[in-house]
Amino acid sequence: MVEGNPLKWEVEPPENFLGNDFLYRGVKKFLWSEWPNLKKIYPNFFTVDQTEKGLSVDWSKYCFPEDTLNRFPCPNLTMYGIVQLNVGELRECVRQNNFLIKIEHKPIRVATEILKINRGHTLLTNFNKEGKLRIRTRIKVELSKIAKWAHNMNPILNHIEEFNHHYI
Amino acid sequence: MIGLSKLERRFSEVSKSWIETPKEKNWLNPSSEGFAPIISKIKIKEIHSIEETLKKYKTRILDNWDNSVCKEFNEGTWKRTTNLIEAVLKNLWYIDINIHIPIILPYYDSSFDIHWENETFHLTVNIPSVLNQPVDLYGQKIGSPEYELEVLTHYDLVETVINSWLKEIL
Repeated sequence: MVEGNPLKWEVEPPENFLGNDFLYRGVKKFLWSEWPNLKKIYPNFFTVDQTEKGLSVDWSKYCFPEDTLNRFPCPNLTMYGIVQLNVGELRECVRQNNFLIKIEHKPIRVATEILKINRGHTLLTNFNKEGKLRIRTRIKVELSKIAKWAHNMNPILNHIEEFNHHYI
Repeated sequence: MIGLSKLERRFSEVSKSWIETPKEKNWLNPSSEGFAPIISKIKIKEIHSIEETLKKYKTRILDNWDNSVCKEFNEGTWKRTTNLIEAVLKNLWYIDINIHIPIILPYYDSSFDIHWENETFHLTVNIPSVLNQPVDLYGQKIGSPEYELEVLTHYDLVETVINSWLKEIL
């Protein structure tokens, strides 16, 4: 993917997000460690405090799921899984449930201590119209229904953890 | 087969909800007032399985507690979460409604989701870490949108809401 000069990256409007595009997000082990079935996504795949300024995701127009994984300090699948949300399904979910969630492109042009430059950086905003730091359970559940692991980005349990997970 | 002597308990040792009988049943024998009704071997095992499962959940959650991003584990929130699960399961199992032990999903702020899901229904109950915040429930009976449940209510009322809804859909 041609990057160009980061300082010249423009913010793209919501309509540039096509129905076949995906939005990727890392899910840390703490959240998925209790999932009984690691093939599916459960409602706690993101947390409320992560949505305060918008939930960060990576746009497939400029990112591969591997890029999302590699931005983490410990970029391996024993610590993170990478979830994908299809933009078309997301819009349909928002419409059917009358959610107010918006997709806002927000490229990171300058690296900081925490964030690397990222042309595909996007925020899902407006989870709660009152702006309170609490997301309705309905939103989490409905989004988890359309979320999937990106290809080959399922998290991995180590041998002992897998035994404990299934048998203890 | 466990003998009667091992199953019989005195009233004072058994919580009241196990002594009150449903109207259509009357297996409480008045001639043995000093003893609680016989609790079947199956029910004792199942009650024990709730406690064991919840203990294992707590151990695993604490093993994976990420102190770099999580607030301190909130024992009070955990207790509210597990008390609710125990109360609902005992209530429903007592009247032979077959429902599995739910999973508990943690969040960074030490709130928890109680999550039931199978081919018949799903129900998620968020127990907030802030004491006076309401509990947020969302559930659906699969294929029957008229039974959708979406409620924000005080913790003290949640058990009643869950029991009523599950009795209706199961």
